[in-house]
Amino acid sequence: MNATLTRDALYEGLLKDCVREGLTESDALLWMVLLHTHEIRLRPGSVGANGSALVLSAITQRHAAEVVARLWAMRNGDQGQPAQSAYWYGRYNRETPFEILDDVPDVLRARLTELRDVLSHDSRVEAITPEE
Amino acid sequence: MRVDLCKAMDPQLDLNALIRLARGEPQFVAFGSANQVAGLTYNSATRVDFRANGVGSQADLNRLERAYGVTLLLGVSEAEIDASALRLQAAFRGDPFGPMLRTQDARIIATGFLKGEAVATCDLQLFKRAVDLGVAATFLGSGRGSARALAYAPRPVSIPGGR
Repeated sequence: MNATLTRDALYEGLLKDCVREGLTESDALLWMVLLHTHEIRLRPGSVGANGSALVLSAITQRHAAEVVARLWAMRNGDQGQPAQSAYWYGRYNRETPFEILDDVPDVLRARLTELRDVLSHDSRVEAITPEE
Repeated sequence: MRVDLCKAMDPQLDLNALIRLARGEPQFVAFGSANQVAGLTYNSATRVDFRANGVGSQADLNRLERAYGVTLLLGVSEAEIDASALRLQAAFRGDPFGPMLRTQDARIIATGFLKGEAVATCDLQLFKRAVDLGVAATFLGSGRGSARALAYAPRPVSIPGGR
């Protein structure tokens, strides 16, 4: 398994456990914000065999769009534009073009924090912090 | 690395910048107007993505060319973009969980790498990866994101085969 597949499988596993039912479009965009602006520190030994802690760096807009498109397809079906990463990339840049957590408005911050907390409760996750 | 939207420059625009310029966002309109003479471009990978899945249309690109002189970057073949993108992606494979470069991101930076020209993006993470690769990059953004871009300390990576 190469690094890209390993990383994608990790995101897929983490997010699909957080989103057990249908994914809303507003939450999909906020998951993109979270993945684009935060790094995820995994507990030592939770992934891989060497027992070291792993830190998933914040990812680019396109990568976040790919992750969310796959999540959408898993939870809402793989038909239509929302199952395509280009759809989410476009919406991100039109509706939630935030590059750091400080730029996220309060009206969205509360829900973003809720999503972060849900992901933080995953047994594999040690911490989720804004990327410096 | 200046993040001055009104300073004349002739970068290649990432898809996000095209989207926001096409939307007429004032900050990007000011940038497009200020840099029209210098010559703004986008590469073929950006054109494909812009026209995909309702992001934009060829008519939008034509309108941007008329309004701001934004044109398709010529002189780099698809094969050259693909080959360079693979090398740029490989530069980040040392740490399997660290920063990485997706294929489409790499195809955007590839032409900047090949032509030695700046790539302008609204994606702070892509900006950082371009800088790490030694590619001239400009972050097109505002607020505290711009300050973060200005303060970014590169973490140089080694491109297989050199520059």
